Amino acid sequence: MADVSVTELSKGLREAIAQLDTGDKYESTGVVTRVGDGVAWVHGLRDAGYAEVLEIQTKAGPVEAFALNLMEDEIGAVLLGEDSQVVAGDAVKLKGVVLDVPVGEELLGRVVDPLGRPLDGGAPIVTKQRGLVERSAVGVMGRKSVHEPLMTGIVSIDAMFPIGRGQRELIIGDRQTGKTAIAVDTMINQARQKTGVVNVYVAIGQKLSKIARLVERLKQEGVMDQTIVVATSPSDPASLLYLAPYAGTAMSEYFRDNGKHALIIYDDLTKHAVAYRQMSLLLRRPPGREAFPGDVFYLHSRLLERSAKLSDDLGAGSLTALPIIETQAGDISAYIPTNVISITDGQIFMETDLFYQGIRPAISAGLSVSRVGGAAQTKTVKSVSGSLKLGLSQFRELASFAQFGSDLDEATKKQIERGQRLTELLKQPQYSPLSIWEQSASIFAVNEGLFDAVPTAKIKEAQSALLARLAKDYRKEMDELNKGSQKVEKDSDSAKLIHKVAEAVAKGFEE
Amino acid sequence: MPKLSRRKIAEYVANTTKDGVVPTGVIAELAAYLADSHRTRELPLVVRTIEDVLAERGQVVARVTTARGLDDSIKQSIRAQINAKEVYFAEAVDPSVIGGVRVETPGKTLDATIIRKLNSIRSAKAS
Repeated sequence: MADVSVTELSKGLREAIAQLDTGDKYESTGVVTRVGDGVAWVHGLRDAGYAEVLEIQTKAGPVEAFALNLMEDEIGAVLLGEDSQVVAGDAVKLKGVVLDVPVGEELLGRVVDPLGRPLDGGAPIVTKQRGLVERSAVGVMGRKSVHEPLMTGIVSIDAMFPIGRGQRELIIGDRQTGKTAIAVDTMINQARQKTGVVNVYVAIGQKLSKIARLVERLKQEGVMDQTIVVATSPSDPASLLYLAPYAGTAMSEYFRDNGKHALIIYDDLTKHAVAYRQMSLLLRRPPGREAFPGDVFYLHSRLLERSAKLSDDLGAGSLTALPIIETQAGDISAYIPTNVISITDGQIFMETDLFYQGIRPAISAGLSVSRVGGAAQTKTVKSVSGSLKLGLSQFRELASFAQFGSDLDEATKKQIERGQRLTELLKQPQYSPLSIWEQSASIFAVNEGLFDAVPTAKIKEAQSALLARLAKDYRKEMDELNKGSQKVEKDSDSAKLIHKVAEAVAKGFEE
Repeated sequence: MPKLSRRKIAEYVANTTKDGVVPTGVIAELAAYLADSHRTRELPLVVRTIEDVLAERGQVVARVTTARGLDDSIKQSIRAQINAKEVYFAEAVDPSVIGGVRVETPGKTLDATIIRKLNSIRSAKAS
């Protein structure tokens, strides 16, 4: 409100009162009959709509809720705030809106809660637009097939299970297998390679210490400027955990609909399903398998269907989703994992065994798959990674077979040695995503057998020596290769170049 | 005996009501039923539901709270505002509202009391 001069005090006050007073309206009201566990039961308000926002007038000010159970003479509403102030007998009013959140560029670099309120101690967020939390997905005509790559910077993913913009690729695995690490590396890679992709990280019931560490890391890496973090902690009401992915999607849809590209990470949907189960049970909906309500499939399918590659008419923007699911003891046949596997366009499966063998990222080559990304892989990476997945799977089989006998023929021995070098090559430390030329040159060198003389333990050293020398002496050629349109084949110039340098490098590591 | 919904009970009571008067027999019947089926705790909700059903049939119970009591001209204007076939007034005098009037009808409220205005100013100042 503007400052008022003393001479116009009376007029100013009058105006202030007029602004405050919402007017005496003869409006629909209900009354809270029961409340507890974050759920309020409301009598009256028969004209309330599904998922409409209600305002409960408590002694300590209004508390918002949204109506989820509409019954004959009662409404079950989930509170969006603290339930300690709400008591039976409080009056309830309709707000006349469905839930929405602020959306826009202003959110970039911020940490917000699912209602768009800042959590980072920064200035209040003022945006020009608001987006609906629950919104239906784009139809068939509004879409286009996935064709542009979304580089994760992780060699094993980009080479074997490429992800395209607009794809939904599930990251699934036990606790402590590096699921979040993959998502974070992908976000970092978007800044390193300057792809212009906006990151939205949705933390569903994650420890606040973990979120703080992640935000700190993103700031260090300079990624935070193009990132929105939607954070909920285990102490937030289940309703906020339930809303978080939808709110995050609404925020990223703004970028998708304006012809830009966005990447959204849901960390993790297991906790989301658990929060929804809690809400449903408290709303007395009948439980089904694993006590989840009947509509958990719809819960995730309607969420993930909003990720899409839009048609040219709609601006050709895209929203790529990387949902994360935590399994118990590698059991991917539990209810939620099977649901989300069937919804997404492929999954990256993380294995505990691999992780403890030191193969990190612990991506299982056999169980992982990308159903649409092949069309989106860059020509450069595709030209070197054609047989990678098959070779690696064959190697694993051979290796377990070869344990039993020592007298192997020369060809098998060679295949095993190559496989060991490939496995070694695919190991990658955290926070160090590789660019297209780095990935292709490394894979090419090993695939062509140029590093066959290098001992397995020194493959990583040889790789970094190769990359360093290529970057130093052949910057221009590598930048050209990095555009992704050039194939690295037997007789191409780039292949000859890498061949030459790799041979020279390998000499230095021979024993 | 299957559990009767509040709506069913309310419709039964509303059917027997004439000119805003519920026969004593029905009251006793309802009381006995609620006690017998251990549903006495639902009483406030049952009353609300009966009022809801009556309101659907154009018989509105208006609970009017004022600081000083009602006169006929105010009643007349409230009646015009509610727009129902018949309006029954349940008056209450409560000095704590300071001034103005609060009209509560089934499912709807008109709160034009001074105390509400003061509260809204107070909460706007606090935020």
